[in-house]
Amino acid sequence: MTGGSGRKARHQIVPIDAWRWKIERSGGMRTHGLVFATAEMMEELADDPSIDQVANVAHLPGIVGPSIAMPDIHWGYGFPIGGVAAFDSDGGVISPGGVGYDINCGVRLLATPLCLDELSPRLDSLLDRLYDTVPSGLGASRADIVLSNAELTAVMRGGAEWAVAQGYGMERDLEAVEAGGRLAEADPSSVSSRARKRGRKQLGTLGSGNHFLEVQHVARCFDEAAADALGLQQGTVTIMIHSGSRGLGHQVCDDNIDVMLRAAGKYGIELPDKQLCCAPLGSPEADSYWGAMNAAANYAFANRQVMAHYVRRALATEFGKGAADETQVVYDVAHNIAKMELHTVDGRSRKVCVHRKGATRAFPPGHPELSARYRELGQPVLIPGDMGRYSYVLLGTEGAMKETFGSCCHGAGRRLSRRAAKKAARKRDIRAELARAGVQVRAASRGTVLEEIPEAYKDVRQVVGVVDGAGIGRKVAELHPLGVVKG
Amino acid sequence: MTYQLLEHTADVRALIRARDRRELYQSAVDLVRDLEIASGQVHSSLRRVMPGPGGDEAEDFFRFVRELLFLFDVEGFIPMRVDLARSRQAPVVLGDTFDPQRHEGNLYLKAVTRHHYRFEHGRGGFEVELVFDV
Repeated sequence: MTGGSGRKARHQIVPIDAWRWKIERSGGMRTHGLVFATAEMMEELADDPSIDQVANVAHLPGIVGPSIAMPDIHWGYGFPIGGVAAFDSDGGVISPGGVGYDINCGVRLLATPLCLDELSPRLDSLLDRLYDTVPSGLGASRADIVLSNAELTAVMRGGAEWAVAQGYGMERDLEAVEAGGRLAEADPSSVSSRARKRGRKQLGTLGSGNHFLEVQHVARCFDEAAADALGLQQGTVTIMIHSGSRGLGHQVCDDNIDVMLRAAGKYGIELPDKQLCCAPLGSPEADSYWGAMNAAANYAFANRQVMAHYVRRALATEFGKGAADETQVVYDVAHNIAKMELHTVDGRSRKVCVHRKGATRAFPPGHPELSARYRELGQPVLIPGDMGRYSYVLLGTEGAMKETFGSCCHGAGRRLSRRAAKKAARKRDIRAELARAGVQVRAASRGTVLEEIPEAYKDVRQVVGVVDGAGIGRKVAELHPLGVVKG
Repeated sequence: MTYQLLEHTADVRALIRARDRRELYQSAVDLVRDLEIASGQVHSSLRRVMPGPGGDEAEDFFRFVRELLFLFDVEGFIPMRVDLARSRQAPVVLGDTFDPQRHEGNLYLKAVTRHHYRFEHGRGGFEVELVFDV
C-alpha cells in the first residue's frame, strides 16, 4: 500500500498489523517512521502534513530506532504533535522543536475522598471557586505570587520541591510526580531575562487554549486492583490539571530556536524544516538549551503543584479541611520534554535523549526511575480527552520500553482546525449542550469554548484503544467530566 | 485587512499580502490584535519601541511579530497602530493595555514559529506566511 489509502505518494506507508504502520525510509531519512494508528485513523491522516513531519524527524543526525508517532498525532511545527524520537548521546542531537514551546506541558491528576453523591449538590459552587482561585485565560497572573529574581531562580532549581517547601502542598505529593517534580540538571543561568520577565507573575496560573482544570468521576475501571492501588475506585471524584511552563517556557524555546538555527549551520546539519533546528548533544548550544529546558520544566512542575494547592484550598472551603488533606496526587506527568534515559537498543543499553512532543512517558513496573510508590505497579499515564466525553488513566508497560522508548500517547489529538471548530459550533449553544450532557463549563473566553468543542478532537477512546491494543499502555480507568474550567 | 487565516489543525496559520512595508507591519499588528482580542475598543494611548532593523528584512519582520507577542504576555500590550516614519529606525507601535473589564480575550499566542515561515518581497509587494503556536 502506498501513501496510506489515497495519500499522495510522498511516502510509502505499509501496514505492519492492526495498530502499526511503517513509513518506509526514503530520501534523506536516516531511519523509518512508525505510526501507531488504526486503518481508519490513517485514512484521516491521508493528506495531513503530520506524516511528512514524522519523516522529517527521521532526517536528524543520531536518531536511534524509528521516528515514532502516537495515535493522537496531528500537525505540529517541526515535530508532529504525538511524536517520539530518541537520539544517541554520542552523535545525536537535541532540538527545541522536539519539545515544543510549552516545555513540560503536562497533566496532574488528583483523587479526592469524595464520591459523586457528595459532590453533586456543590459542584456549581466548587467550579466557581476553582475558577476564582486558579487564574486562567489571557493575561492571567496571580497577585499573591509575584516572584523576585532570586525566588524565580529557586523555582527553576527546585520545581515542585520548591513549591512544597513554601507550603504549597505536601511532601507525599512529590512521590507521585515524574522525576519527583525536580530535574536536577536545571540551569537557571541559561534562562534569559526575557523568559524571567514572562515567568514572574504566572506561577500558579492555568493559561489558555487547550489547558484546563476538570472535575471528573471514575466511571469505569478496567483493572480493579490497579485502579484501587491508584486510589481510583468507581465513583471517586477526581480533578485533572492540564498546564505547563507558561510564558517562561515559551520564551526559553523561542530564545533557543535562534541559537539552534545558527548551530545547525555551524555543525552542518541539514534541516528539512527550520523548526527542527538542533545542535549536537554535548555542544555548548545543546548544553545551554538543556539547562534552560530543565529549568523551565521545573517551573512547570512548580506551576502544577501550586495550582493543586489552590484546588485543595477550594475543596477545603466547600467540603472541609479533611477533604483537602485526603486528596492525593495520583500522578503528574510531562508530555512535552526531552529526557536523557537508558534504553535497550539492538540488544545493548544505550543512553539516548528521548524527545516527547505531545507524548507521555510510560515506564513499566520495576523501572528504577519510578518512585517506591509506583515501582511495582508501573507508571500511571494520564490521557485527557475532550471536555465532553472522557479521559483515561493507563499504566506503563514493557511493550512501551521495547518499542517506543517508554512512551505512550498524550491525549485525544485535534482533528478539526480552530476555524473549522468555530464553524461547526456556529449557531449552537455549546455550554448548554455540554450542560445537558452533564458537564458544567466556566471559561474566560467564549472563543476558547467554541474552539475546544468535543468534536474538534479525535475520540480518545479510540486513541487509547490503539495504545492498549499495541501493548504500549494498559487501560486502568475511564474518567467522565462533570465540570471544566477553561482559559 | 490584508491578512487571511489558513487552515492548520492545532495552531494558527496566516498569510499576509501587502503593497508596501508600512502595510505589511500594520497587517501584522492587525493580525496579532485580532487573534488576541475578540472584542472591545483598543486605544492608541501607549507607545512601544520595537527592535531596530538588523539588515535582513525577513528576520526584522519575524522579530517584530515576536516582540508583539512578548509585550502582550509581559504587560498585556495590545497593538493598534504602527509608525514606520523613518525606515532606518525601530518601528514604534501604539496601543492599549489588556483590561478584562473592557476587552474580551480570544487566543493566547505562545510564539510565532519558524515552521512554514515564508517572507517574499517582490515587485508586487510582500507575501508572508506565519504559523503561531497557540
